[in-house]
Amino acid sequence: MTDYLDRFANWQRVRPIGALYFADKFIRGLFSNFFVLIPMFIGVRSGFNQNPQLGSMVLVGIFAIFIIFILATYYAFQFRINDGRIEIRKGVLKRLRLNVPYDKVQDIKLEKPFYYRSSNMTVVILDTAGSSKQEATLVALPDEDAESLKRIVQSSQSQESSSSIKRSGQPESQQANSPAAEELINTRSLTDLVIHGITNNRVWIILGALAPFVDDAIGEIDSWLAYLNLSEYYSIEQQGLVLFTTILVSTIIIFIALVTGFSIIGSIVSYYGYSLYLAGDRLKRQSGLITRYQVNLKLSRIQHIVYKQDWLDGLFGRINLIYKQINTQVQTVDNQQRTLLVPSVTHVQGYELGRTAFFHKNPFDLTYKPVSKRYILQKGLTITLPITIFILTMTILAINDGAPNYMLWWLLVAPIVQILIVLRWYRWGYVFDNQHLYIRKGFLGLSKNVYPLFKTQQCALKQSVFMRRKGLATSELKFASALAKVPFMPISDCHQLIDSALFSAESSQHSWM
Amino acid sequence: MQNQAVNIDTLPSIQNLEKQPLAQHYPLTKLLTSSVFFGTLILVTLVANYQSIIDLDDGLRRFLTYLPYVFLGLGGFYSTYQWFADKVKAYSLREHDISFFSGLLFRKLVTQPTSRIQHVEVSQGPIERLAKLGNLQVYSAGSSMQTFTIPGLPIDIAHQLRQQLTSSVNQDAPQDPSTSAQQ
Repeated sequence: MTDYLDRFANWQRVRPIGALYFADKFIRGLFSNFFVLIPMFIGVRSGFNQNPQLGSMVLVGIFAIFIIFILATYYAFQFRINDGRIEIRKGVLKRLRLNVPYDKVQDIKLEKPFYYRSSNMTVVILDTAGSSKQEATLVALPDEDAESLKRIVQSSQSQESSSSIKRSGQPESQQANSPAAEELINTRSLTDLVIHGITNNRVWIILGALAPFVDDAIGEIDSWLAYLNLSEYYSIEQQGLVLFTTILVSTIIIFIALVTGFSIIGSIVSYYGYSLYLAGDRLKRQSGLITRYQVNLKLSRIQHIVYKQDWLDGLFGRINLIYKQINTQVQTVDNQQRTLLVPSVTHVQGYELGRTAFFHKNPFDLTYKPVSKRYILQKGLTITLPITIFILTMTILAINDGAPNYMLWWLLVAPIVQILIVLRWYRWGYVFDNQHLYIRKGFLGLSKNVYPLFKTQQCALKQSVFMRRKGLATSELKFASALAKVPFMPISDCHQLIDSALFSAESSQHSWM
Repeated sequence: MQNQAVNIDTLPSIQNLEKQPLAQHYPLTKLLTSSVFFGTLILVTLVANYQSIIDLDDGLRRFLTYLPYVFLGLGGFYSTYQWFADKVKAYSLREHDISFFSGLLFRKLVTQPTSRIQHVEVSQGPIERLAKLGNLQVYSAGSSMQTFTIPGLPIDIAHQLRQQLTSSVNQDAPQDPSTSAQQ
């Protein structure tokens, strides 16, 4: 370890291959601002058409600026690891100096992008629970150095925490100071990932990757569709009702199949080779087909657990288990950093994994108390009624103006909204003891959330005049990860829940993070 | 090791909190602030309507004739509601938490355990400085929404509370290295 520290004690740059990382970040940054680029792209293209010579010069110029910027960013990036802290100097136009002591590191993640595959380099991301700007990234460290840095940082965290905190519900042997032996607690097979792709829409991963080409693709599809002369296919007059319905249904099926296919690919890209380890007081997740991600999460940092079941998950009897961490003020783009998700596990597997975070009752065996039916009335009056009045007014005005009568179908929106409200009420249930709050909620899907009461940050009791008359109230327990809200519950339950939460938070000797 | 069962019914309850009033002149100060705000709006529209430097078209001038009445109505309604809403605001300090009562039609009681406080601040606006009032802002972990403010405290009480909370933070959470009470 000493050798390791000494080697990085002085300010230095990363290996030249690190420039690829900056190029990658730069390109991603550009494409995340895709719409801003469109006018520039149109400008360059029309310039190119009018004056090819000037156009190519502009293109070369842009490319040169890109290269210069990447190189400048690379040269500006320096780091050193010294005296229990990691220091980074970076930024071309705006210089930034980060100073991260080991014990302030919340999470340490190792990533191996595909362009590092041939080299033995790894990206080390140190999350400091501050804003995303304060996230310190060592863009290229040799694999073995990255691993030993991870161990040093983690052992310094363990020393800091074990000197003062004992985690609840875990035997002392699991709270070792030194890096503990890793126990593999879950893997996901290809079948699991296919199920996950079918039940959970992971299309966005593919869409994100394809974003740069969407503009051209739409243009191509448009001209192709024009060539096919679709209006004839989708015309009741020309095809007859039966054929029209067949064509419509098969189009929808093809579309769904395509989306599902992409979703499965997205799921495999994200979670290929998924393995979850328990190493002492932390969880370690490894996964990824193209870029290998490694996420580490200290168990005591878990604020609440979600057992999430989308409506299709129900058919396969699967759930997604999500360990929720502190939700900082700045929402980072990559939400996977903040939450650790175990995709498409069975109920039994899910509960077993959930209990590694903290001991709690099985949320699938509990009888949940419903919230008051007044919820339906209140939402009906504040959401459905205004929607109905708005749609009714607009439809009548439109029909008076000569719009066809089938505009009246729009009125169906109101009952659909109301059905969703009833469904929401039907799903919403709660149960609590003096240690945990369990909330069941959802619309079409269903999620069961387990909150350890001693991690409560703040409590609120809310009551309108009408609720007061009926002896109802809304309780809001704020956790560092999310708000746990139970609306329209009996006031006595609300008092009891808040009193228990406050007692747990105020008397507990366990750290909430 | 002891681990005795806790009966939820015997816990100290938020139903028995002792309310402490805010500064007596707080509602009046708020009334003054909103009067200055709406008064300025009315004055600006009146000046715009009766000036002869810029030529306004008839539609706009007619609109400007009615606007002061709209502001007067809005201001009157807002100030009256605010006056009564400010009267019901109160706070309560216990050994391990601080609570804030508010709301006229929608009642709200927020309680912040001191062991979960990240830091405490006292802030003052210009009118509040004249009225010797202060706002106590309490920050806990998580998103910025998880903050609560007790407005309208006499400034010396606000500072006392801040000191009290700051010292309780350090006492209540000695084990938590991430919790630091700042001024």
